[in-house]
Amino acid sequence: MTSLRESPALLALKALLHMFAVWLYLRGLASGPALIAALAMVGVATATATWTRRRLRLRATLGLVGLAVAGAWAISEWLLDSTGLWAGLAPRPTLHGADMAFFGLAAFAAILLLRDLSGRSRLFTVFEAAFVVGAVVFLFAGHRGLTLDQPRFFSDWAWSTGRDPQVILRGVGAVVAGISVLMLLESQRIVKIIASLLTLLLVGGVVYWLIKDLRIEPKIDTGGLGLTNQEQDRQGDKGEGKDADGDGQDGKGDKGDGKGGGGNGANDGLSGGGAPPTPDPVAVAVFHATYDPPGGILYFRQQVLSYFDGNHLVADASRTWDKDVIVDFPHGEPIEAAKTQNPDFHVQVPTSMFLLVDHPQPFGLSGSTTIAPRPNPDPRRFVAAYEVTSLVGNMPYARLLGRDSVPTAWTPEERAHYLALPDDPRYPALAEELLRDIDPRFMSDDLMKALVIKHHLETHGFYTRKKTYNDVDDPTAAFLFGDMHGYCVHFAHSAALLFRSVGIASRVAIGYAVDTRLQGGGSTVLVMADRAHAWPEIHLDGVGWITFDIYPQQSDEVPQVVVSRSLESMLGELAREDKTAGRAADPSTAPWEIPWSAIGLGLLLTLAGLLALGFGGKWSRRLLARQSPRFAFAATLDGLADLGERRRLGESRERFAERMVGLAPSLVPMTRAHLRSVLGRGLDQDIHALRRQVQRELRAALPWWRRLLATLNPVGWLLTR
Amino acid sequence: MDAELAPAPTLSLDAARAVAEKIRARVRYDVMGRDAVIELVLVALFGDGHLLLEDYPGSGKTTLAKALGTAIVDDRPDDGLPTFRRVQFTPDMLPGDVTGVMVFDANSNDFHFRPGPVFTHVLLVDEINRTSPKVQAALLECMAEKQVTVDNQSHRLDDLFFVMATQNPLDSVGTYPLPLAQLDRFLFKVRMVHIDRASELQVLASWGAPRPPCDLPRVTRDQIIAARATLRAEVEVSPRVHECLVDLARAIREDKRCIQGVSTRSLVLAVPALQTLALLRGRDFVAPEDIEHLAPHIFQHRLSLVPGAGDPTLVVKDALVKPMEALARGTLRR
Repeated sequence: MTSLRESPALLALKALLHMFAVWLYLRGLASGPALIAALAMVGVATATATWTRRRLRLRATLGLVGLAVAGAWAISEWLLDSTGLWAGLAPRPTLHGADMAFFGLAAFAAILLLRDLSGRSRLFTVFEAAFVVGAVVFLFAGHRGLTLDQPRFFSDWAWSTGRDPQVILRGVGAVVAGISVLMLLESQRIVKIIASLLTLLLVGGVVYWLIKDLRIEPKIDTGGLGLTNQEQDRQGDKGEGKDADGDGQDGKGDKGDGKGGGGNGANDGLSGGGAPPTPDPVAVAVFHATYDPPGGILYFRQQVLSYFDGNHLVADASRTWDKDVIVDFPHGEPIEAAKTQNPDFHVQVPTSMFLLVDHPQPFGLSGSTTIAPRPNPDPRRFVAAYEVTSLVGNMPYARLLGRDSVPTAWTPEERAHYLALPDDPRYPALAEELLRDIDPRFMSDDLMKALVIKHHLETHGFYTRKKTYNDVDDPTAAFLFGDMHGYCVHFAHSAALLFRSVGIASRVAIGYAVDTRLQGGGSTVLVMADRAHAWPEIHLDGVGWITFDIYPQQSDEVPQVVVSRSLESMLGELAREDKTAGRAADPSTAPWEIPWSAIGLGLLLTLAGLLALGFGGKWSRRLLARQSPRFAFAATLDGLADLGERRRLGESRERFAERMVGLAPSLVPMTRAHLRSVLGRGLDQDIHALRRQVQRELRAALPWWRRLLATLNPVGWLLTR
Repeated sequence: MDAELAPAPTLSLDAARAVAEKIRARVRYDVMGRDAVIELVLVALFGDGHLLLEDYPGSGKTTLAKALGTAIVDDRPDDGLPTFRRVQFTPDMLPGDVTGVMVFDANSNDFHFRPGPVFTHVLLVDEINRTSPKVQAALLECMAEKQVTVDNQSHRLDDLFFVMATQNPLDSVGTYPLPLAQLDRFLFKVRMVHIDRASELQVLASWGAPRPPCDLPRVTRDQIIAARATLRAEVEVSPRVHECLVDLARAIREDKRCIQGVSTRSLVLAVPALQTLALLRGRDFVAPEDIEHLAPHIFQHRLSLVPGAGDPTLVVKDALVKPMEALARGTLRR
């Protein structure tokens, strides 16, 4: 049984760390008195463990731990059940008593077990360290990937002082690493502890400096729409995505419900989706003009699907059509879209987009007319930045009535392209049935027809993510002519095909739909991955393409998560190149920023300096060896220290030489000659010859790589004694 | 006696070592499996100290002492000193039984001194703790002063006077344990352990068959005295070694387990012992390994420890670490 010898100071430090960990674990669970009881019991358990690990067998300790756990449960149950106590005491003290007994004894059992085991075997100190580190990790785990989470005090404090929470989290990580080192210590000397921590700091600093620009992409899920590069790669890897051929043409959305591997994502759609874990942000949009969207929903379009390939609507890979949609990122020159939107019916909204996650095409507010490059304010945070100018509709539908969908100016090919639909009689039949009830005044009005169809889908459709139509050939038909249970992709495709069947030019747009009512307001909009959406667009002559989304009235989805306003505004301010993330009163005052480059350079220079000192000392001692017999002996010992062989504390030189007989037998006469020169009547042998002899013996006895390592060892001479 | 006035004849270091080796060879012929103890006996003999052997009965103490006695040639038969004598200490002994007594001679009508058994070169005192303190005290003067005083008349012992005392570590009923002051007179207390299996088998094998008498060369008393003088003069003791010894003594005294530490006398006695060991190991200077080897033997029996402190050897070894480290490091500095 190995027993760790811990100094009282280290023991107290570990007890404090355990108390800290227990406090973190129980913070949200236990009441105040119970928390105090648990902390006190940590102290008792630490003291008890120093006794049990020496005096008790493992079985006895485990019995004690079991007894404490059983006691925790039994006492708290008894306190809560005993009516006598309830009658005698007020309910409050009884509850507190039960809580204190439970958490106090549970903490006692846990710490006793950890301390006792770590006293019996070094292996278990790892669990002890994990217990403490785990407490901190659990506390901050919710903050991964730019997400804001509990505890809010941390993130609120960080932003109120203008600091990036990521940096704070890294700092916390470094402290936790230091703590884990402390937990693994037993009874080293203080110099060794400080040296360990300094080494950790140095190595950690260098590693951090090397990887600080490394981006760790959050795993984005846009609900099967495959809007991001990441998802396309994933689907490409799986070989399932028919159209995800990596050329930037996103064909996914044609029947995004099924074949593309989508459809069963957790966070899709406008009117549902966000129940599960907090979604990841994918982009920040900064508005440069006031824009209040109709219905409160902002549509960020990435791509449109207009080409009917005989089965589905897909993106037009030939790039003949949809020239009003910009599918390339701007490099140098701004990209202008074909002018289809009539400025009379639209309002111009300039925005800046900052992508947090890579996308195959740029996306911006629907009706984008120009996309221009702009400098990326923070390449570590944003993967792309560009300016989008959009013409977005601001007219109520009533003002747009009385127009045909397909302009007379369209070529027959264009007309055919936007009106192509499956050879399925059920589409026109259903459309005809729906239009039967239309007000005769608007019998020939395309927009009114579209509104009737939209109304039908909204009233009869049922929004659910549970039905994916993965196993049918034509999900759109299965949805539309079935029970009409489905989600945005199904609604959009059904609507587009129904529109086409009554002669309305339409297509499906995919991108993100952000409900501004769930946003924080202000000019910054945070686009989250779970806002991915597909919606139909229809064309009106003289107006252009208008967003014509379907809002099903029935849904089984829980409401979406409200976007974190702090995160939204922070990212927005970062995008505006305000390093204080909007917190400084005067943006021109330079905020405090960690000078990573200087720190990294400093660390490297320190390392280089230390290496230079190490090798300088080493070789100067080697050179001195030729000058004096004493240095010759010292240099020989340096050589052995480079190999990791050194005299133990209190060991005589003769004994050390005898220990080294296997490596260098000549060290024995050399030691003797050296001692005679110092303690006796002077040198009686050629110590330099002996040194050469020792070197020859070492060369013969050691493999080349050990000799190489010894040559490269800069600190061996410091360990010579 | 003339030996004390005349300067001791000196030998070369090699010759001095040869003297010691001759004795070693002869003793080894008679005593098997006790090389370490034989070396300590030689160190005590040439270092002018005395030896206390703590051992079980029948472990070869007498054989060892006898072998030592026979290794020395009595080249002065007329001085009346035998080379070896043995005294068995018993509770009813009187000091005169050890030192000698004044006897009335009717012929001369006067008292004459009749020398006791201490008048010898090598004296084996068996079971020293079985006799009364006054007899022990009488022996004490012999060992420290190399003289006996009877009726206010002092009689000088031989320069070579060397005591090997024994005591049984277990059988302590009816004994008078030696006080620390007396133990301090002994250079070493050697705890002999049972010899190893092979040596014990060898003893059995050689017991039945008569062995030829040892014909290895013997040494004379004068040679031993000369060798002592030589090694005192010729084997170098560096001031660093002195420092190490003093630091060691101080470290032992400061040890919390120690009630009484080691005496300055013990340090004085230690120096010739270290010189002897250096000589025996073929060196002309005292090296750290000598201190490392001898320190536990020299100091452990002089300590008085708090109850439950454990083995005094460990106290000495613990105290040894720092001075030895300083000595070793010191050799790399100017």
